[in-house]
Amino acid sequence: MVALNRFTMSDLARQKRVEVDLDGGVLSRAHSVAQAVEHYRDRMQIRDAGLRWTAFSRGVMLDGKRRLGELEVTDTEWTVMPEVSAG
Amino acid sequence: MIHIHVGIEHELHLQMYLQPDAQGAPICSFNVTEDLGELIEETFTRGVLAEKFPADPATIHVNIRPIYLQEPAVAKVQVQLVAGENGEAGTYYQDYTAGRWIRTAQWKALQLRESGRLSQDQTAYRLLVALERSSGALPEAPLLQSPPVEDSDLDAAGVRRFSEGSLESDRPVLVNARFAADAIRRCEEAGNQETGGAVLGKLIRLPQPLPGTETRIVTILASLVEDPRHVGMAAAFNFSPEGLVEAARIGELRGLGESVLTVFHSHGWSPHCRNCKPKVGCLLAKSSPSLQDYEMLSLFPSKGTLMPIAGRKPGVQGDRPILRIFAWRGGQLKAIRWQQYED
Repeated sequence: MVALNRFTMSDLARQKRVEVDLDGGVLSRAHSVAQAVEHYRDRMQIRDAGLRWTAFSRGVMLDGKRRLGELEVTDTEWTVMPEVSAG
Repeated sequence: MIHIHVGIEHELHLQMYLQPDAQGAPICSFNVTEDLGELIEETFTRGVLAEKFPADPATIHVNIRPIYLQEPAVAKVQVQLVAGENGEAGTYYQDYTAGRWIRTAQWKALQLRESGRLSQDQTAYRLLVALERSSGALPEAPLLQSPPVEDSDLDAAGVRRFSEGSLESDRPVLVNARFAADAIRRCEEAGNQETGGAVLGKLIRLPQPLPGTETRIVTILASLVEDPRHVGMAAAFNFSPEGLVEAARIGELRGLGESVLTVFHSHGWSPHCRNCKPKVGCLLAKSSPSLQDYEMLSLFPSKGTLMPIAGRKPGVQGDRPILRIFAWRGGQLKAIRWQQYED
C-alpha cells in the first residue's frame, strides 16, 4: 500500500488552508483524523465551542478514529467543517 | 508562508460594570489581548481585497496601539501592517472600535442574567482598558492567507447586465438577481421558520475596477443551493455538513470555478411585518447577525467571508423580506452595499 505523505485541510470556501507533511511535521501517521482536525482548528484559532467537527475527502466523511497512516494516497484534499446552526 | 512579527506594548482587558461611568468595582474582567489576532487578520484581508496591501509578502510587521478615550480607557485600537523591510512593499491600517470582546461581553451578560447576578432589567456596561504588558505574552499571530482570486472579466464571470443596488468602493459585491430573488422568496415562504442553503460564488480580478470602486477584486455570489438535509426551525437553522459538501460538488460540476463561498439563512418573516409597529414586541430576529451567527462562521474562518441574511427590516413596514449582505468591517459583521446582476 502506498502511504499518504502530504495533505491539505481547508474550509469550504478554500480561502484558508493548512498543509500537513507527515514526514517531519507536527502530525505523523500515528495521529488520527480527529487529531488532524484539532490541529486545523488550532491553526485557524477557532475556539472550542463544543461543536462536532468533521473532515471530508473526495466527498466522503473521514472516520475521526482512523490513523493518518491508514488513509488512501488520494486523500490529499480535505474539507474541514463543524456542524453548526445559525441563529 | 508569511512571517509575522507582532509589536504591542499593552495588553487589553475588558471590564464590565453596573454603572455607566465605570464607578465601583467591575463585576467581571477578562484579558482579551488574544482577540487582537482577529483584527490583524481582518486588516490584512481588507487590505488585500482593496488592493491596498500586497497579497503575499514574505514578512509583515504588525504594530498595534490603543487610542485612548482617557487613559487607560480605550476608544479605538489601531492595527497597522507593514510589509517588507521598512514598509517598502506597503503599509495599511485600520482603526477598530469593536472586536471579539464585544461578543464576549454580550455572552457574559446573558450568563450573568441566567445566574441571577444581573437582573433582567439591569444593564451591564463594558469598558476596554489598555494596561502596560506585564509578561512576555503576545497575541498569537494568526494564519494570514490571501483568498484565491481568479483573473477574469465580467462576461466570463457570467455577468451580463447590472440591475439595482450600488457598490462599496473597497469591497465590491455582485449578487445574481436569481439568488437574491430565491433568498427573499424562501424567507417569505418559510414564515417564522428559518431557511437557508449554501451559496456558490467566487472572487475575480477584473482588468479595471468597476465605476465608483477602487479595487479590481470583485466578489460574486452566484447561486443558492438548497438541500433537504439542512433543517430550519424557529430562531435556528442547522446546516448539514453532508449537504454543504454536496453543494461544493455541484459547484465543481458547474465548471465555473465556484466554491461554497458562504451560506445564506433567513431570520423569519410574518404577514404582520407588512404592518410592523416599532414599539410592539416581535419574536422574529432582526435581519442582522446574532451571536450564534458569529459562532457559525467557524465554517468560514477567512475575514473575507460575507454573510447574506434575509428577513424583516425592524420597525419598517415592507411588503416583502429584505436581503442584506454582511462583511467583516471594524471587528464585526456590518451590512454593506451590493449590486444585483443578471446572467
